[in-house]
Amino acid sequence: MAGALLDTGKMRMGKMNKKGFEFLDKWVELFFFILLVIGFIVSINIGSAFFSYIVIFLFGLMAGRFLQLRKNIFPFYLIVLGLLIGYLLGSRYGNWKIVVFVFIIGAAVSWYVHEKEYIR
Amino acid sequence: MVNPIDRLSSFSYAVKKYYGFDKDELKGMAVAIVIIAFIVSFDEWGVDKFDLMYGLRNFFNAILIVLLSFIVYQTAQRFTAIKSGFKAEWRIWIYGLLIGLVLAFVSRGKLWFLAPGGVIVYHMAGHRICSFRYGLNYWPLGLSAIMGPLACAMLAIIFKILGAALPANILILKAMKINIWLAIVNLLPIPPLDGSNMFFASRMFYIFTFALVVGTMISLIFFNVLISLLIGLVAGFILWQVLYWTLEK
Repeated sequence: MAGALLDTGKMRMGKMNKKGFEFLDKWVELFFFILLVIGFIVSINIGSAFFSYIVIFLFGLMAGRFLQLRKNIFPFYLIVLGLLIGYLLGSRYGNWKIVVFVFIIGAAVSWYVHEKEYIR
Repeated sequence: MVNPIDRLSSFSYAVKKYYGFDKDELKGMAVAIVIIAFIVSFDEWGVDKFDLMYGLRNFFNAILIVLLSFIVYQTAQRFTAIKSGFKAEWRIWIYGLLIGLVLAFVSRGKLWFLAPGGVIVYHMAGHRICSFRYGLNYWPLGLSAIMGPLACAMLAIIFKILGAALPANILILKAMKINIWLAIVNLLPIPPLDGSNMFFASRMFYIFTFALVVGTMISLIFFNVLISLLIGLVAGFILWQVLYWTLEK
């Protein structure tokens, strides 16, 4: 009887854990998708190439800070890539190569500024 | 001769000693003021085409208004914190400012997400004699945090009254609008914004205050002060009751 109860408990715990692990396994994809959608919505609402480059530069600054605080953890690079892909998909104005270049410049500037601790 | 214990417990002494801003705070505040001033003056850089001088004048006016709002905001928080025996410090939220900039560019300056940062407090056991002094607790932290947005809301009401006396002054209306946005955005329960501190302290009090401020501030644009306050109070009461009967009971 006690063994049966223990088994049931184990099964319940197993199920709960499985659900928890499923989310924990898929959090990167989830955040990748969320940021992809955010990037798409933001870029599709921008009405000129100039503003598009400024906004992607600001996103680059955010990404640089985000990645600098979480160095060498691959999933965070993937999440940031989701934002960039979403932005490129929704971008109606400007050249996509310039968008990628400006994003990298923004991220690099932000990374450097945080690395040197000019901003904390 | 003044008793040193009386001196220690005096509010004016504590204000003199703990009101000041440190170097990091001042640096952060300067950056936040400039960015917020840019956001609120985004669509004022020319009437038909870009005009640098016109834009710079509006930008400078915005800096002055935001500076005034910041001083009132910080003072309200610091005074409340000092009164409770805490030392308050303000920290910039870089992501919040960058999100504000992005939204300004996307909405062409129509949407103002003014989230400059939030308060953190340090416990001063010596100033909490005769009260709980074994560490930080949520309620005084939430109370000192929420005083900032409430002070901004009060400032917006004062500007509304001034605007009624001087209806042709656009600057007063702009000051009112900035304070309305500052009060509403900073009450959102997103850490590290100040609303989150009260949210963790008491959900019931938070929801009442949030609905009161949002209701009052939005109706302040259309109605006079008394009607706006009444609408805010009714909104606060309704949401408070809804939360109580649905989730908290």
